[in-house]
Amino acid sequence: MKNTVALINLYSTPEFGLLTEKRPAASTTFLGRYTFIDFALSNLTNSGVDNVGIMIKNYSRSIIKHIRSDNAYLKNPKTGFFQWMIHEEGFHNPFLNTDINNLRANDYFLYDKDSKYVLFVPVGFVMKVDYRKVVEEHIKSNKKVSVLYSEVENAGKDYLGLNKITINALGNVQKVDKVDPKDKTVFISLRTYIFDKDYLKECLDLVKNISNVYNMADLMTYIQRYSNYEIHGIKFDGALTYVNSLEKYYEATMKLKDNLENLNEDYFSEDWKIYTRTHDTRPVLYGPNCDVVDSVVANGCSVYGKVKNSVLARNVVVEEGATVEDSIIFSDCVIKSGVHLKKVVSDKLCVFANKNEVCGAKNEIIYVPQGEKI
Amino acid sequence: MGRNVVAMILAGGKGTRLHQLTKKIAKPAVYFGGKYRIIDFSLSNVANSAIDSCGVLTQYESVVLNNYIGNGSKWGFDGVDSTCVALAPRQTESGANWYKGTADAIYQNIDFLDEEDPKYVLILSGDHIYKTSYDEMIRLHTESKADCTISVLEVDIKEASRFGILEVDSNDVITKFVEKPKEPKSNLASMGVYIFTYKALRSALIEDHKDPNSENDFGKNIIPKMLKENKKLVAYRFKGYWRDVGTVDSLHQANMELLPSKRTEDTIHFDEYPKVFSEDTNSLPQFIDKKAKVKDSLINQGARIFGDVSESVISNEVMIEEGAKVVKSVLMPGVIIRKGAYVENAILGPNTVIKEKEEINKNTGKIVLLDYERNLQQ
Repeated sequence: MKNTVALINLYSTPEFGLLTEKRPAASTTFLGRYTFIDFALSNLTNSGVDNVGIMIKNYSRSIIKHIRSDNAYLKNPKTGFFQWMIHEEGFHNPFLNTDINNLRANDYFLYDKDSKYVLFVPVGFVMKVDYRKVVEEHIKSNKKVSVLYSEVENAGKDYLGLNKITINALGNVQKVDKVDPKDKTVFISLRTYIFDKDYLKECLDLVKNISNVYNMADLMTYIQRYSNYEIHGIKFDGALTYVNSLEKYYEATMKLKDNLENLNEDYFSEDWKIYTRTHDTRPVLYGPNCDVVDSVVANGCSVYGKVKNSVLARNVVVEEGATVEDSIIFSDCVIKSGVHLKKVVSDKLCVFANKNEVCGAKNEIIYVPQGEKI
Repeated sequence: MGRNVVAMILAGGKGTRLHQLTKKIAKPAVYFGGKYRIIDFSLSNVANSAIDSCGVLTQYESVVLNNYIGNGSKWGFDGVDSTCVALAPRQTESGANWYKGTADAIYQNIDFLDEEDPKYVLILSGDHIYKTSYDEMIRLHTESKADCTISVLEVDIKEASRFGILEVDSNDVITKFVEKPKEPKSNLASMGVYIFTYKALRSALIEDHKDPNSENDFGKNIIPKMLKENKKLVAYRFKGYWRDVGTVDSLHQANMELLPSKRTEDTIHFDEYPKVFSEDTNSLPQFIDKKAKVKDSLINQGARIFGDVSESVISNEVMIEEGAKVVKSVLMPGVIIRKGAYVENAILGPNTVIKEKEEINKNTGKIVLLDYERNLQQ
């Protein structure tokens, strides 16, 4: 799809509480072998979009380390490419570190001769989106800008922090508001926008004269309320998982794990691969006395103890006599013999050795920060 | 400026004793250890030795192997000034020729070597399982100013007649080489790993090519001739785990030696230096179901386990359904074991399907090999 430049907007990514204190959500481990940006990048690859900018807000080392180069994601890194979009001034002055200022500082895409459309892609949603169809519908609408939206239940509980939108009879956005804690079934904006490139250029010039700290969500509200143009709504009917807190992260991981059992096509299918950076790790070693059920285990792990209803990322060691239950363990952790973990989200490089029971209460998840010795 | 060392990996063999497994692919491309192919070991050894130029000589059923080798990126040969190229027989001005023997395969690629212009050429086989860095062997070769250094294994003298055997003096300078001697006088077996000073190799290959009676083989022709000409040939004693997986039994055995209960300090540990590099498939995460039982096994990403697995090596995209049982077996990618089936002491080739409640090799005590073609026949 040479007519489209995709920009992955890490500014609109939700925070997962303590999990994202030292890394962006985009490079946070998910389901043992992925990170959240893998889902966004894989959707683009599977849709044939290979001119991709990554708008980095902060913690650039973590995200660059994960992606490293484009050849793990792009079909052809010669005809397509990734562009790191770093707003250095924003690093020095977080007040000015907005996605729109990042776009201004990295406006290479405006000069790309082949593309006519700019697609903004969020991170934090796990979903299969065919952007070919999205861009096609945008073109058919004859509007300058479109937004992808989805009908959700329990919006006030599960989608707080996002915008809800109202769509008129012509399929255009009539109203934009913040999701309210009391909201039930609403249309939410999936923070996925398609702009005619010329119109985006106009908008960027326009915003300069309104506010230097406007972000994309502000711009969309401005266009809807004050511009002469309408925003077209494109409905997404596929399955959707949204993560915006540590609790939701835990829930989403367990939900997707359960979806692996019957390979739910809403999330996993042969024709829609999930690409990720790989690490040459060996297959999993299961010891003679191990007991592993209902779990996802990434390569490099050595499991000699008990693992139940859990997700283990790369190179985790569960010694004989250790038990991991209802937990998510990030890479390179060691659970020594005699330790029992339950409802724990452990960040990477932790060693559990000297406290026998590390168990969250019924509605509580224990988060263990990176590198801790427990 | 030329290179210090260029590696040439002999990967053209059919591996007839692996039967159906090598019907459509060359032996070096056969799967091993749940995620690897046999040639990963040689290529990783070369990469771990900081050798950045590598030719892989392919011939028999080379499509899969050539495709797998690609530009060598799986082993890091796509870096600056690095190269890895599959060298299949080709048509030249003098006509089209198959590789007649191991030496002829190298001879037909003299132009590649001339272009790389190395001081030394490392020649090795692409179908052995071992981890090493060739640094020490290269150092021995250069410091001893040898024309050729041969890597040797100390084998049981009773087994020696199965190998090419070297006799050496007190300084490990080779005095005699006998291919499969009836009454071996030494237990030093050639591993088929050679380092040649390129000048010496080049002239030996050209002379050998002119000899109509030669079988164009390193063991049978080149090495004995160099000894006859009083060239300096030195033995390098390899210490460590090494397996020739040329038969169904030995391939099964080497896979079993990867299991937690069979691992020792000497066997293959993939994650320790020197590391074994391979292709990481874009598989889904490995899933172990609520009713599954897994013991003493090695299981790759993409596998889905709903039944019982013990003492087995399971590759990516394998499906073991509920109630099925897999014991002491090696399952290659894409194998499906249907509900209630039983598999014991088996190697199942890629994409083999075992039907519901079917029993494979129960209590026979022997190793059996099945492949996907049986699916087509059923």
